[in-house]
Amino acid sequence: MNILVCVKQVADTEARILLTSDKKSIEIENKYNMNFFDEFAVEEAIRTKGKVKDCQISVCTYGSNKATEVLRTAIAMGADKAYLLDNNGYDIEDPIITAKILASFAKTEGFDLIFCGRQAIDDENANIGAMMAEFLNIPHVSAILKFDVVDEKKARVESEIEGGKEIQEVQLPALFTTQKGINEPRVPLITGVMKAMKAQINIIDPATLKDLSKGMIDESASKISVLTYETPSARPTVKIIDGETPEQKVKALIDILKDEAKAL
Amino acid sequence: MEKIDAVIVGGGLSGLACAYKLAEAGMQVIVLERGDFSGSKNVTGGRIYLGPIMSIVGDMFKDAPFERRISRERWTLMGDDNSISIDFTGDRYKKTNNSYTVLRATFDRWLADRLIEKGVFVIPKYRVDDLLWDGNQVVGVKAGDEDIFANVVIAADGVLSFMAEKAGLKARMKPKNYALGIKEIIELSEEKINDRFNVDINEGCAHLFIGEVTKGMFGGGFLYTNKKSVSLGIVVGIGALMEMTPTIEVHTLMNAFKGRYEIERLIYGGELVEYSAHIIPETGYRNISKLFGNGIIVTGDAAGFALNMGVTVRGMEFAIASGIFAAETVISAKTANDFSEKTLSLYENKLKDSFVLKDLSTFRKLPDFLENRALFTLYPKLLPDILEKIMFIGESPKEKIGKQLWAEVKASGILSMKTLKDIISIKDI
Amino acid sequence: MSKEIFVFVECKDGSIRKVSYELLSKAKEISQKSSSIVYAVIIGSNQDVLANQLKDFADKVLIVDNEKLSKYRWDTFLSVMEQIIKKYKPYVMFGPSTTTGKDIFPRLAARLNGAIISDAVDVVFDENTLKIKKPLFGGKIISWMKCKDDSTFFVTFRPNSFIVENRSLNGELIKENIDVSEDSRIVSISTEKRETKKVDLQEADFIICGGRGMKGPEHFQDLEEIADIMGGRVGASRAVVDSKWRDYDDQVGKSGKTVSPKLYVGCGVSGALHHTMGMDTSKVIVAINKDPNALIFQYADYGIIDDVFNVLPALKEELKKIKKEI
Ligand SMILES: Cc1cc2nc3c(=O)[nH]c(=O)nc-3n(C[C@H](O)[C@H](O)[C@H](O)COP(=O)(O)OP(=O)(O)OC[C@H]3O[C@@H](n4cnc5c(N)ncnc54)[C@H](O)[C@@H]3O)c2cc1C
Ligand SMILES: Cc1cc2nc3c(=O)[nH]c(=O)nc-3n(C[C@H](O)[C@H](O)[C@H](O)COP(=O)(O)OP(=O)(O)OC[C@H]3O[C@@H](n4cnc5c(N)ncnc54)[C@H](O)[C@@H]3O)c2cc1C
Ligand SMILES: Nc1ncnc2c1ncn2[C@@H]1O[C@H](COP(=O)(O)O)[C@@H](O)[C@H]1O
Repeated sequence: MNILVCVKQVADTEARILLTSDKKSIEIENKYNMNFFDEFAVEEAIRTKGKVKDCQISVCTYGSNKATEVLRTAIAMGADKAYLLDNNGYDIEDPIITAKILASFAKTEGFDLIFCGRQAIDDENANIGAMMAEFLNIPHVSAILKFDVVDEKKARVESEIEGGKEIQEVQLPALFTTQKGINEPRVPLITGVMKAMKAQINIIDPATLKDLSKGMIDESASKISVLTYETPSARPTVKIIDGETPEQKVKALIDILKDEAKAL
Repeated sequence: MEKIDAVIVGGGLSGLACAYKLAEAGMQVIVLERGDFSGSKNVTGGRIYLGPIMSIVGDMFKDAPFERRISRERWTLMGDDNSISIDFTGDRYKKTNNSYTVLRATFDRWLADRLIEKGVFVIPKYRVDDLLWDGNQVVGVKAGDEDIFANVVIAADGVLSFMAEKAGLKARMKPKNYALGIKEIIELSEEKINDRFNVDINEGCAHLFIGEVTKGMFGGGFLYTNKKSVSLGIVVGIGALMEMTPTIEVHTLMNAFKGRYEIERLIYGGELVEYSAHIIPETGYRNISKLFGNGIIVTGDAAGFALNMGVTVRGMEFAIASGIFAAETVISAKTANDFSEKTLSLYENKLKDSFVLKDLSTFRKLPDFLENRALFTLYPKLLPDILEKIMFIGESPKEKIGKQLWAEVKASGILSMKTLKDIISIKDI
Repeated sequence: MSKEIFVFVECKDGSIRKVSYELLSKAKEISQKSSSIVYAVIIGSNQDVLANQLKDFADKVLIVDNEKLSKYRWDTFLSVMEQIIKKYKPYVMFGPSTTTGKDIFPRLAARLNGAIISDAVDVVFDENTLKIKKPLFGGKIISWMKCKDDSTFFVTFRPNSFIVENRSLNGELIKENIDVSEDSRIVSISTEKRETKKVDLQEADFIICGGRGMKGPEHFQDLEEIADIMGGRVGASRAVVDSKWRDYDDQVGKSGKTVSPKLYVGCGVSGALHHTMGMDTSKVIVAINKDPNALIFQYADYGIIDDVFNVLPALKEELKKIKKEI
């Protein structure tokens, strides 16, 4: 079985993010991680590999050279092969393009099973998984909480749906996005990290992939554009509600919420 | 797992310098660092003197991301509400000074990345928990559930070195043996820094403060200019801090320091981007612990190689040099295929022949000398007070300068036997 | 090119979700500026009653009624939406950034090769274009984006981004006859709905969120009671969810849900960045914490520094009174 995991390198939640003075671009402090939800995807692939015969896990990312770090993390965890779909340092804003590139790579290599994270914590889009599945014309299930391979051709998954959970059987090849709760991602072993540091990363120019050309994936192909970036307006400093007793404080709070904040 | 040549605990400057030299000699090395990346947890005032290590570093620091080359030194003696500053520069300074400001988060990380390119495994986010033993020989380290075997373990794990302690090399330290440093990084534009500190592009200023900054406790304040920020902080002896009544918190000192007019003028409009606190070894030559054992070598702060001269701390070049000597020792040991204490003792000889132990020995009496409170209260305050008397023209008619001076000096109590003793004791340091 | 604005109406447990009214209200506001009209698209089975409720909010209500659509599946819904969009070629289609919206919109955009902006919080019509506001990096940066293509443009918005306004439009009801195709590659085995009449966390106007300071699962009962009084929901910090005091469903924050209620009350929550990233777009934030230095006070509008267990009983009583007044 051939498994693909798509992983994204994202700014750490604690990284400082600054606007350039023209407000047209942003600068991110050099603190990056594998996307929180993608760790579940890698972990689930590794667990699946442990359960089926002849299984190989590939990880891929569309990103800059720096993004090889997340590929190495995935290898340290237990993935077998890694592919960098090199964006040549240029961040495409349009998720459709990213999804097309990833899908085209998947088509080129051929996979039975694809895992993505539920969403990226930087853009919070939750787009790529379902889009990739559409481009590959395979079924998808979002936000899965349990995963089992029934046989070579079928998987059984539990997923989060509006207000509950659903169990479905899905014919493979298919794509699944992982939600927190599905597993506990492992911390790679030091020996794993050493292996990963040595591992070869395959670098691919997306323009050379099946059905793609440069004009289809460069800036001109992007259907959306960013007009400006802004910093969020700062909240006014907190008003601490005084009072002799908790009861007084609460009364004062309620009055303020009613009259000043109009929140009640 | 196979045995590798060396496992280095701590990816600070000492550990990284050691790894660098080992990698150059083709050895297989792992550096384990508990922080998110090398440098993420490292605190330094910010000034490194390359002079003493020029001859041994080779091209380790080629294209290194130094912040600014120090071309200007300032000293400020702080009184209660006044101060006097000395501003020193010179051609020699401007042209050949080999002292730079650095930001460790950038600098250590850069060095770690270079090592990775050289094939060294610098692995962050792993804390070493224990040593592995075979009889009385250290044979590796334990990190989480994993055992990593190596011919030699380098304990480069900083001031509170757990590894040296586990190896039984470290004596129990007293509070007196440590100082506490806190530091803030405040962002300012490059132009503002050049203007406010009167320096050219890429040139920097090292500014030290003594006196009221530490309320008379052993220590002082520092301000170093980086490219686009300044490092501002204070260092206080923990012993002095503990003896202080009523107790005073270091961040209170820091806030008072930042609130001083002298400092405020230099940093206004800046944005605080980082705050850190760290301990500095104050061991002194006499308290240096055992530096090696069977299969283990202790380097840098872990070995207590820092020289706290009250206001300035020299630790980085000691850390780097000791790392390099440790590497050279490991290389010899590998040739001899003997990693026992006997071979590793070469390390101590190398240190003794170098500035590391020589400087520490030269300044061995400094800690005692610096315990003298007068150094941090009386003397620094006297000069600004005198100047204020001379300079300030108020409503009442001025008195004769000489007369004023005399009165001030007499009132200060500086004309005492004690002062005389202090002056005489200077010859010892 | 038409400038019609389509809104995908999401239903849950037999009623229309509030977020759909929000989107319709905003869509109408924009359509007045861009002189276009608003279509509500309601897909399901036996939706007549619900469709009628939409009349006040849309100029036209497209109804697709088919028993195959009684339950949401991306494959069936997608086949319907695809045909509607191909037929009407709207300028833009709005949808909710909910579990369902996040599931179907990307796939729809990919199928129709349209532009998509997800998880937006605002939209303005200015200089003849729609400008979409979308927070990035957990709200550390706000971006304003636009679509530069003339294919249909899809936007999903976070619940609670807009105010509901009934404009009594008395819109026209249009039944669409559309073939529904199902993807035989997925078979639903079972669904399990949580038995709750409570509003969805992301849609709640009022959230009272408990942190580790609540000390144990048993104390969340107080929060539940307050939430019930206010018709809101109980949220939880990750520390609480990790301790298994509450379900993951309740988690607010970076790795949980992003919420923006009218009123958020944090009880014994320290305000770690990971948490605040999920709630700092709330309209009003109140924090109750005994530690005056707790980070949450940097995000809160109002704070009470006290033991949360001293405050909660009084809070419950006062809120009860208020609700009686109204
Ligand atoms: C406020 C302040 C100002 C200073 N000013 C100056 C100055 O201006 N000039 C100067 O030369 N020196 C200065 N120093 C001293 C200097 O910073 C230190 O001497 C120097 O950093 C020592 O380097 P090191 O590599 O030995 O230790 P460190 O830099 O402390 O590195 C030790 C590393 O080991 C890691 N570590 C510890 N335990 C473990 C473990 N169990 N497992 C894995 N990793 C571990 C730590 O995370 C750390 O990265 C100053 C120090 C302070 C605190
Ligand atoms: C990758 C990642 C993702 C994360 N995602 C999330 C996320 O989505 N959501 C989230 O919430 N967290 C998340 N976290 C965790 C987050 O960093 C914090 O650890 C967590 O939010 C802390 O929860 P807490 O405020 O309940 O607990 P604590 O930090 O322990 O705070 C408890 C607070 O209660 C106060 N308190 C205690 N007793 C009382 C009392 N009697 N009365 C009043 N106050 C009292 C204390 O003063 C303290 O401020 C994430 C972390 C990581 C690393
Ligand atoms: N550039 C990328 N490279 C690889 N995978 C990605 C990329 N962007 C997004 N993904 C995957 O798609 C998921 C959802 O991302 P998003 O749609 O951006 O929220 C992520 O969790 C990843 O698994």
